[in-house]
Amino acid sequence: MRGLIVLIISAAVFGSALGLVVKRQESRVLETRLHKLQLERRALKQEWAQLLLRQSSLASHSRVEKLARHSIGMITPPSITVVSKK
Amino acid sequence: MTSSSLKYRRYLVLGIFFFAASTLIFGAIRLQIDEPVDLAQRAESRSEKLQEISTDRGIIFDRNHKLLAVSVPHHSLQINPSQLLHTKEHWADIANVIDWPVIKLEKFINAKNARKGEMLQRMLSDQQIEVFRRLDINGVDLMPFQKRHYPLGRPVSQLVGFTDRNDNGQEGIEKAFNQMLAGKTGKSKILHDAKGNTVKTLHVIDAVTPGEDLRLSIDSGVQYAAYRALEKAVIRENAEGGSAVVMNPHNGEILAIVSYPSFNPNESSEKKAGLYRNRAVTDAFEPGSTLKPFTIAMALQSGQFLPDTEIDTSPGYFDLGEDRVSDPVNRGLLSLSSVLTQSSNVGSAKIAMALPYGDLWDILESVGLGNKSGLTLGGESSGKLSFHSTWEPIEHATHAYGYGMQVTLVQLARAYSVFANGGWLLPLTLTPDNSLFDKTRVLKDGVAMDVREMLAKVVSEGSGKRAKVEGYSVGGKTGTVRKFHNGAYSSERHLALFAGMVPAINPQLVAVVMIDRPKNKEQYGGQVAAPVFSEIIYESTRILGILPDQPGTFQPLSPKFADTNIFEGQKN
Repeated sequence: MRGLIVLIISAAVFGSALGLVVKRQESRVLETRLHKLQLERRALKQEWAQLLLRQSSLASHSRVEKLARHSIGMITPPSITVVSKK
Repeated sequence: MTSSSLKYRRYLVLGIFFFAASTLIFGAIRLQIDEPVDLAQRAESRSEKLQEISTDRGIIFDRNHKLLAVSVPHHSLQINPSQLLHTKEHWADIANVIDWPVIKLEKFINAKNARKGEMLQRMLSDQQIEVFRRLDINGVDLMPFQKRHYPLGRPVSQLVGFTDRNDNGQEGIEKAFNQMLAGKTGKSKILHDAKGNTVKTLHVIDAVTPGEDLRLSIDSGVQYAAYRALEKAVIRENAEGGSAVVMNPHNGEILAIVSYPSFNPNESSEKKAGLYRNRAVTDAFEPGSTLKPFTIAMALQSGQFLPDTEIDTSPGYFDLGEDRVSDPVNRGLLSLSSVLTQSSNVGSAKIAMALPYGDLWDILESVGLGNKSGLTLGGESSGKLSFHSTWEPIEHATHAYGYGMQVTLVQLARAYSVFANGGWLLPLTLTPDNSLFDKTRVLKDGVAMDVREMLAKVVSEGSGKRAKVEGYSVGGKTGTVRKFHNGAYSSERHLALFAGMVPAINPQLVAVVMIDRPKNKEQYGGQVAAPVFSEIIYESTRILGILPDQPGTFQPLSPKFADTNIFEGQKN
């Protein structure tokens, strides 16, 4: 009887020790992954910043105006009629 | 086997075990006692290290999420001359990528042969980086750094400001909101494996706070239009400078705030201290005639005057001790409303003097003059409004037409908003978070309405005709202020002012324009500043989609806008 209890407790101790090892390993893996993702997030944010900058220079008022006037020949209409709808 | 040989073997085994155990124990004791600190440190340094977690500076957007400022990573080229001295075979490659003659690089390396790190080129292009990565030369390093870009350039440079080389805010919004934009670099103690991968964060010493993005109330379209109109006017009028403010009178949001001359924040060669000043915020001036509507409001608010109450301004001047208050000509009998349309100093002074000193001071103070406007920008002037108990009689008179006191352009915009929104004083704001603000009623709704009608007359039939915008009713007041120069009011140095709102009766926008020292023949506010107001409002109403209240067919004034290009800020 007593031997059985010792056996069960030993098995439990061994099992929890194994579990600890497994969980620590998992935590290491996750920790490493978190760090990698943080780096990736920063890299993506920097890329986004670069793209924003490029977009804003492509869409700048002066560029759009120049393209509108000279490349596709848009003009300001000679007169505008404004009607208001009530 | 005999029992004696068994016994012998048993002692032998025990002896070996004993020897092994005591060696281990002895070794452990020796390590513990002789050099314990050194070893412990070596063990920890292999697996633990302090790691800095840096963060990027937040982005600044306008109200429509258009980019105003952004930090972008770049690489500079650094070489180690003492190392490269011995690997001449790489020189041609390096020189080729950065487009230098090899002889120049050779001279450079020979001159700095004792140095370990020398910057060769501050900013590398993507292609150059790629080539250097492929070449992978020892002694050539690509050093990452962040650079702040301002794609809008000049039109918004005083407002947004700029950062120094370490990305710390130096001027404008960059300085005022530095803490929020910069965030905070974190520091942690981490455990890493042989490859340098983080295994575990042992202890967070400083938590990292990422730099937050910031959205301003500015509309970059309106800002651009205001800057162009101002730039053109300052050049056309041979003036020394100018500034303009456009705002929403119903929530205190600033839509545009521009100063000229300006600078390109992307070019360090253009950064000269004198140009950093956001004139609309830092410069205080005497408001002159643009202050008269407040004198009229005081009269109406007192209940002792009506819009058609008549004031006798004959003979066009009056004396107070040694000082004289005068109009250019004798304007005779004027109604309250005509005092404004004809901009009579005598009329304004007489109205003020019919009431106690305190009444005039109260109204000026209550519309925010003499106090900061609520903007969080550094260097804001609160103007100057001395308490009425210190006034001499002549000062009572001059305050009624805007002399003897000082205001900033943003204060003037804020004060005119009180007329535009039906009598409420609001704090100004540069961020579009208009849900929470303290508004104070300072004028009766009816009084604000009466003044708006008079301001509309100033533009339809008075001195402000050139502020007209086709399709819209406009209300406003001109001002031509003599500048104080060499101890006296100069008859040659002026400030041309216009403060107004659109549409006149139900205003959606308030704008004020100041042109500093126009030097052409025409120098009046109605001639110099009113057309700038008209141009800014014409563009702004279109950009913001404010419907015309006087529909009809008219000529757009836009073609004039075509030629100049002020967006040289961003090339790549």
